[in-house]
Amino acid sequence: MVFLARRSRRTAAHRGSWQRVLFAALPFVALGLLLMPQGATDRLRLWVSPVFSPLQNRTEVAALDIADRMRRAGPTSPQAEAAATRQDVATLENALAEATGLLNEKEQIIRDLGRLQADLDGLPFRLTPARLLAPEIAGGQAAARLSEGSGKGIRKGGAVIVRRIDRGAREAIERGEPVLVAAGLVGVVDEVGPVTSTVRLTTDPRTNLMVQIITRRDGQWRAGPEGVARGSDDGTAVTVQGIPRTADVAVGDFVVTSASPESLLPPYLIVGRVAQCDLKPAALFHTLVVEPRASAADAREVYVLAPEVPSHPSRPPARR
Amino acid sequence: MRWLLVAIIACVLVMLQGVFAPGGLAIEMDGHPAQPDLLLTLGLFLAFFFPPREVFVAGWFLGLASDLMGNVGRLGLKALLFCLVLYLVSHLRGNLPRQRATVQFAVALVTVFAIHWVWHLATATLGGAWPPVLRSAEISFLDALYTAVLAPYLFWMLLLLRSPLGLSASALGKRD
Repeated sequence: MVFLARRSRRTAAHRGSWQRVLFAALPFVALGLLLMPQGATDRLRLWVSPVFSPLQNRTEVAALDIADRMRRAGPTSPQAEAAATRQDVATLENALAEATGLLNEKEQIIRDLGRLQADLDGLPFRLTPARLLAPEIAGGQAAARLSEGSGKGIRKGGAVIVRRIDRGAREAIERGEPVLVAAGLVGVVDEVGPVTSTVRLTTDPRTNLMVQIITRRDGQWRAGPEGVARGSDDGTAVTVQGIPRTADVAVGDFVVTSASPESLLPPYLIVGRVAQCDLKPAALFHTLVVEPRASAADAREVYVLAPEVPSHPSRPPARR
Repeated sequence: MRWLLVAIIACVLVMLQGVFAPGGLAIEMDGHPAQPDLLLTLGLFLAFFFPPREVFVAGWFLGLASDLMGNVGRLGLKALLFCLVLYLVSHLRGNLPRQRATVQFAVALVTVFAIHWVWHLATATLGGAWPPVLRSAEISFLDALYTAVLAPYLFWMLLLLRSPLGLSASALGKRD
């Protein structure tokens, strides 16, 4: 009995001591976690996600729960059984239509990818499929960036100029790489996190691209003059400057990335088409307003174009 | 405190909140899908009936679990907020009639609102943004209201486990 009482006292004392240690240490641990970089936080959340969200998976959106729809009660009369069978057939037909829709969507993605790959055949580039994330699920930094706008004059209905994709350093994404859809250039990778990256859209006023005008006159395609494209101030279009006033430019001409060695993007990626061509009487250069060919608002699946071999770390950052 | 049992209860609440019904408990109010904070309610229960130091440790771990469940914000922020606020509640509980549903409702409302609002503001500020003060207050209040409505029921269920949890008569407020 005495032994048990002593042991109980020792256990209580031991418990009290570790509680004191935890009491003193835990606030510092919390502060350490708080000061941890966002990238490490993202990685940690990814590691523990099987514990906290084991039932969520990437195929969830494409899953058809037919079994649930066809659940039925025990044995009934032959008439009721026939009616239930007819109901099951109708359910299966609906599921088939739904699956066909999903399949078409995926086939469209595969076709886009095939087309882009065919265009890139022989060139030392690789395509990484990615998905543009909705702003509200894009993580802390993106959420903060969105709320930043209200204090800086951005109003509801304003243009979104930065998006986030679900690919990052884990997939060897690097800053400055172009983000495409089959229709053309969507933007340029800006910041790369471990599992996600931000994309600066072509309509972002901070985006500067070397571009070239491609014209079609009398059925002949011609490479036109080069200029610099940047997002318009309201973030809804792209303006091109530096096109000499003597150049033959008209509404409807194509604007592509420049083939000049000074351009940091691969050549001939379609940026958009000239929507407006202003030339003031005394101006030396045209000011073109370009309607982007690929809209990030409509796009969900995108592709990151990267050199086949990841570039050398000493490569200068492609700050545009 | 029986730590293992508290951990099991926390796991059940995590499942309820995030695993089996992600967003399933949400109620759309004023454009915001209000979610009850069940882990914080468990923390409040512990703060009502257990020693402050144990509450501090349990609050820290519950906060960390809550941090890890979300996709947004810095890790450790909720852990810090949970442990400090719950520690404060466990110190101030002496004068409260803790068994009353109205008290449980009011304390849950105030606590959840305070923690969620501070968390929203701190997350926006740490992200380098201007914190949306009024909107985050509104969102926090809706979450707090939902949690406060559920709190007395959760307290009642947890009080059914008072013997396995090791709650004494004095801890239940009969001598406080």
